[in-house]
Amino acid sequence: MNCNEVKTLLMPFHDGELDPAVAAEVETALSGCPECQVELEELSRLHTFAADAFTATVPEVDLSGVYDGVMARIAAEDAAEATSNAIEGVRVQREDAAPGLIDRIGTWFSELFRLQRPVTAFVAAAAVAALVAGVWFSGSQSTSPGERVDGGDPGIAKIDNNGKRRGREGEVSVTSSRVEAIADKGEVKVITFDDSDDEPIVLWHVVEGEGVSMPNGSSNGTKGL
Amino acid sequence: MLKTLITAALTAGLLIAPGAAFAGTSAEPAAVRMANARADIDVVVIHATKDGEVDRALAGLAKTLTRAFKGYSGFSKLDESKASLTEGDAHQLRLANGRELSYKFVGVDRDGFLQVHIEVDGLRSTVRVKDGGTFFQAGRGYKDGMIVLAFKARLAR
Repeated sequence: MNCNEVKTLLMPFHDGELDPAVAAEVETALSGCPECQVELEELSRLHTFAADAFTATVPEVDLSGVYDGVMARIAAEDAAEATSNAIEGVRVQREDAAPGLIDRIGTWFSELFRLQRPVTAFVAAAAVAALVAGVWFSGSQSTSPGERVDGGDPGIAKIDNNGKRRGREGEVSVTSSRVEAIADKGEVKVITFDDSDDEPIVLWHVVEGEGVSMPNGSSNGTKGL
Repeated sequence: MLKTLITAALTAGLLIAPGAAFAGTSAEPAAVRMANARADIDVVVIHATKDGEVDRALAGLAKTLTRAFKGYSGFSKLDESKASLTEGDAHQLRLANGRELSYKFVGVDRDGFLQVHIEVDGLRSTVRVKDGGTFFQAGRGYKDGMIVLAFKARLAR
């Protein structure tokens, strides 16, 4: 019997669970193997320690009130939660005997928009239409004479000055998406960038012969210098 | 009857007021609204080329650059300048192509737009841009690409 076989049998050998013939073989092998003897001693110490631990006495603990305490704690938390979700109170709003001026104006406008007053509603609609027309008309006239700004999508703001050099300050409002404005060399121009649609705005200044060309589709009346 | 008359008066007011407001439109920029305003104007000088990729230093502008400059895929940062300017103050920056950029904070107009005056190589323009807005000036050739100037203007708080 070699050491490996002995080591596998040490536990049952120590506990006296081996067949007598096998136990005798183990004992014979142990006598000739110091390493196996050391392992048997270690096994014996471990067995003693475990036995002492299982048989040791511990102080008495009174567990009689644990269950009642836990149940009481749960009940208290439930009660607290119920209280926090309770409605503290309901406010009652007294109704006035007669509606105030603000209420009456509000009622009148609500009737107006529900078309319960057709004549008045028609007049209001005409006023809104006139306002929209006024805004549109004013917008179409905002560019300076001799200057046409055409913003497409995608487009280039074309500034057509019939080839004449402008000597005065003008304003170009660029509001269409992806519209770029070109500013001539030597001219002062006020350009408004309305980036409400988050599209990038580029102020181009292209000089001929520098290898940079305008984006495709541009054929403005203003040449690069 | 009384309510109809009130309605007619309100309608007349609605018609007259917008007309009066727009009749006064002119090409002049609106008067400065805020006195002693201060603006932070950041300028990034970018070299745009038709090949290559976007410099990591320009990660924040990558999407806008590729959208704004179709045909250009390479963007590298050449220089950067940050200036805090009061009204009328100007700041100069020498560009990689040897030109000089000068920009001035004109002020804030009535509509809340910041006015920035730019002068670079003979181009003079005044730009009205929203607080915190970004715009580009581009088109001057440099090496095998072009110079792009990215401006960001915001009111100093």
